[in-house]
Amino acid sequence: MEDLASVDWSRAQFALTAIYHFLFVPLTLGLSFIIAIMESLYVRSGNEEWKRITRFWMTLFGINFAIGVATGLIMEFEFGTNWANYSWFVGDIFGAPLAVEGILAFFLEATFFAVMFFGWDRVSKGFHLLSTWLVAIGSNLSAFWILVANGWMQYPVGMRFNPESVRNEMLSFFDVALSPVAISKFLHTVASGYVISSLFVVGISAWFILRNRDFIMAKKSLVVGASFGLITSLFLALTGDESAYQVAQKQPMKLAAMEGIYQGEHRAGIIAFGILDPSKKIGDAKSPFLFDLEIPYALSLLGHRDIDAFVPGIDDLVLGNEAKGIAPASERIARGKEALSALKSFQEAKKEGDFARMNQSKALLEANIKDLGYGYLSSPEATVPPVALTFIVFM
Amino acid sequence: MWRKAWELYYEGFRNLTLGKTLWKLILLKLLVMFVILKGFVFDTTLGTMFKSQEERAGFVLENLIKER
Repeated sequence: MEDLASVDWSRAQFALTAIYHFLFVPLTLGLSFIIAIMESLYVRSGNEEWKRITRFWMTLFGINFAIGVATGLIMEFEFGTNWANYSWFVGDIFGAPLAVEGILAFFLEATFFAVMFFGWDRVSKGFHLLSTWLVAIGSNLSAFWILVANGWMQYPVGMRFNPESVRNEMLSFFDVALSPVAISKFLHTVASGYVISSLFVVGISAWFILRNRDFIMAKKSLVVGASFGLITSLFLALTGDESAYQVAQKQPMKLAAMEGIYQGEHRAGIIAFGILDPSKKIGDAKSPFLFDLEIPYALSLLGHRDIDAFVPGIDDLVLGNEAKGIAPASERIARGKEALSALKSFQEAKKEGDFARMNQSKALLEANIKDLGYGYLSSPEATVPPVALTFIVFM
Repeated sequence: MWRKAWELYYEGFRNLTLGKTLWKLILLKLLVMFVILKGFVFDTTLGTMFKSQEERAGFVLENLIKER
C-alpha cells in the first residue's frame, strides 16, 4: 500500500506541473509565430506602427515564455525524481528525443530569444527578424520532440526490450520519430496552440477597440490574429481528424471510453452530448446513457473511414469478441503474467549462470512481450480507464 | 564580438521592468531546485545508490518482477 501512495503522489505532482506548463506553453507556440508575422510586416512595410505592435505582443510573449520555461524545467527534473525506474526502462528511447530537444531546440530558442528581446537597437533589422522566426521555429521543434516521446508512450514502436540491461533498446530512430501517432499528436497540439494564441490576440485587440484605445494598432493586430486563427482552425480540424483516427486504430479502449461505448457496433455513431448512467456495469444489457444525442454513422466514418466498420466497445475489449477477433482482457493479462514470470526466471537463471534456461526464458518473454504491461493488472476490469471522466473531457 | 554578446544580455536584463522580477524568481527557483532539493532532499538516484550499470539494471528488474 505504501508503494501505491507513492505512485499517486508522483502522478499528482507531475499532473500539477503539467497543468501549469500546458496553460502557458500552447500560447507561446502560436504567439511566437504571430509576432514573427507582425515583425515581417514591419520589416517589409517600414511602418513604425508594426514595430510598436510587435513589441507590445512580444512583452506578453516574454512573460508567457518565462513561465513556460519555469514549469518545463521542473518536468524534465521530475522524470528522474518521480519515475526513476521508468526512466531507466525507456531511457534509450526517451534519451534521443529529449537530448535533441535540449540541445537543438531549447538552445536555439533561448539564444535567439535573447537577441529578439534585447537586441532591437543592437542588431540589424534582418538579423532581428531572423531571430524572431528562429524562436518560433525553435519552440515548435521542442514541442515536436517531447510529443515524439509521448507518442511512443501511446504507441510503442521501433524498440526491443533487452532483459540483460532491463532497457528498451531503440531499433529504429525514424520509426520512433515518424510514428503516425507522434506526428498526428504533434500537429494537432501545435495547431491548438495556434488557435488559442489567435483567440488571445483577437480577444485583447477587441478589448482595446471597444475602449477606443490604440485603435489602429488594435485593429491591425486583430487582422493578423484573426487571419492566423482562421487558417490554423482549418488545420486544427484536419489534424484532429487524423489524431482521432490514430486513437481508433491503435488505442480502441481509449476510444471506447471517450465515446462511452460498451457494446461495439457497425455503423457506430458519435455521442455529441450524453449523460452517463452511473449504475452501468460492464457486460450488463443497460444503455450506458440516461440521455444522449447521437450523430449517426459518424464514429465508424471518422474512426475507421468506413461507415460499415466495426467499432469495439468496452464489453468487447474486456470480455472478448470472438467473431471480431478480439481477445478477452483475461487472455492478455495471462500472457502478461507469462512474460513477467519469464522475466523472473531469466533473472534467476542469470544468477545461476544457466545459459540454456536464460535463452528459454528470453524466448518466452519475447513471445509475450506485447502484453507485458497487462501482467500487472489484477482483473480484466482494470483495463478500463475512468469512463465518466474520459467521456466528459472529450464531449 | 564576445563583448558585444555579453553586453546584449547584461544591458537587456538591466533594462527589464516586470520581466526582471520574473527572472529573479526563476533564478531563485532554479537555485532551490538544483542546489537545495537535488543536493539535500532528492539526493538518492539510481546513480548514487549503485556503482555499476549491472547493479542498476538489477534494481529495476527487481521492481519490475516484484509481487504487488
